[in-house]
Amino acid sequence: MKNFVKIGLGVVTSIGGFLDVGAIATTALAGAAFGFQLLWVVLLGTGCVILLTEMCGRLAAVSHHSLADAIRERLGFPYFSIPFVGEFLVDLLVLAAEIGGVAVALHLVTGVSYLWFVPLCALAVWAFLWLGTFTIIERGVSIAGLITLCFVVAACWMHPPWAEVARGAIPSLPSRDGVRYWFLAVSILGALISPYLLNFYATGAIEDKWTIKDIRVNRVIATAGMSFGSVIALAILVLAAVVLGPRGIQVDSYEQTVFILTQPFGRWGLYLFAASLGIACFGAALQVSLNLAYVTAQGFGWNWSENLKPHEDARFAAVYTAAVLVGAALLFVGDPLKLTTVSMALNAVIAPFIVFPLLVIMNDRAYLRDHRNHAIGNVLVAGVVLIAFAVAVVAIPLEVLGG
Amino acid sequence: VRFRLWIVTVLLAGCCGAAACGESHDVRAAELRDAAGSWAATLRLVTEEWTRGALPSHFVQSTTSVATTELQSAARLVRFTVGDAASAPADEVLARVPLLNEAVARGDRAAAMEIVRALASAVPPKPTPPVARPR
Repeated sequence: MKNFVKIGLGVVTSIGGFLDVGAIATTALAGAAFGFQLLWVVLLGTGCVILLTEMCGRLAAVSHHSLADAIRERLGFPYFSIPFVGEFLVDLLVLAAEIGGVAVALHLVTGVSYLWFVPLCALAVWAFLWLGTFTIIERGVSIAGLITLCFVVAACWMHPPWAEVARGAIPSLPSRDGVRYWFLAVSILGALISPYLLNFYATGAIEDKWTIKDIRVNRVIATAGMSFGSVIALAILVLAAVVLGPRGIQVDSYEQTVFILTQPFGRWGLYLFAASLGIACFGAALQVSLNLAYVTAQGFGWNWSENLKPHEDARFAAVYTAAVLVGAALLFVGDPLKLTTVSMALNAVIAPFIVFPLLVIMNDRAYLRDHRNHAIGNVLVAGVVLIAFAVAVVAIPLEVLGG
Repeated sequence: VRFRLWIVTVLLAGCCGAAACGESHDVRAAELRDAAGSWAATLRLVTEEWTRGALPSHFVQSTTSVATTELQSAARLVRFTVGDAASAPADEVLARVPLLNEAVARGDRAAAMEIVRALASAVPPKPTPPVARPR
């Protein structure tokens, strides 16, 4: 019974972790521009993220090391500094995009410019981090995030051509706008295989005191949680393809994405969209801020835990405080939607520097003992590493040409 | 011989550059046309939703404001690089935005619908069918 509760909460949390401003924006952009054609990329990204999070959870349960911790210890600080700097900078952009998502949600409902809400949202994120515990942050916001299931209800409500939706699961080459097609594919992969999610998942397992006994629970949570999250992302893509694409609406601002819920739900659609965007982004902003503090503290060997009082891990608290400030400040320079697409493409650039060491660590007996990767697991992860490298190489040129 | 080779090289480079610039101009003009069509379709849908009470009037006004900002900056770039004529689709949308805002402020649903219908036929959007393999 205890395990069922753990799995249930874990799945809900994983859904919250999966869906953020990047997943919402990139899938809406893809659906509006290419119909169901990019649906396979969401499925590919989901498969990759299930594999990676399962391994991160196993690493934490067996060795009680987070990913950042293990990379620094196994490969040394000089190697660790490469993904650390990359992840730190990209996470700041992602944090700005997430805070921007919350501010935009408030703007959609009130009509007041989102910039007025940015300081308020940043303060709310910081207050949650300062006053809350890991459990409150992990479960409270994630349970509220279940409101995003309204996208799934709306997708069914709109009666999309299911046969075409199913055909979208088969990879295909673009019939037009090749650069934009591949740019969106890379951005979706960057949004789903977020490096912050991997370290946050492993660190969360340590905060929740997982042990070897939790390996099966981890497997179920990683698979079911990410799959459910993926269903919501797929629903957004389907809604954008059914509502926006046929009318010739391309997504250039968040105002245009609201229609995917106002069409099926009328006036409630606006409030449901704003609530979904706001809660998903608020949860993700908390996770990204915490991850920035976790990675820094784990990299430099400082005290860290969201369950400690701020004065017990002052440097940890100082990092997330500074990160929230910088993230909010970035919004006064860039537009939230553009910031989102850029940061998602950059996520794809740094992913291989984090995924490749994971493959090395997952085969190290010193960390995983008898729970190392099997041959099939290694082949699959090697495939993910190859995808990550290919995506990283093309991400910047695609960003310049098609972003 | 060296001089001729030099001339041929310069001419080839010039042709390639001209072709690249020409294509880039065409692409830019087409992108602006698509963006204008997309915003015209957006304004039509937002007005339809406002008319049936699904969206408040402040939402229509903030959408027209974003449309104006986006199209003004895109049109400025195209006017500078391609020429004044290329920005016509964006100008068409921008010219009707104040009229739409006035109609919405008055609460005149019929006038607002009339404006966006005329706009959508003047600047037709480029629809994407909801399929997995477009022809």
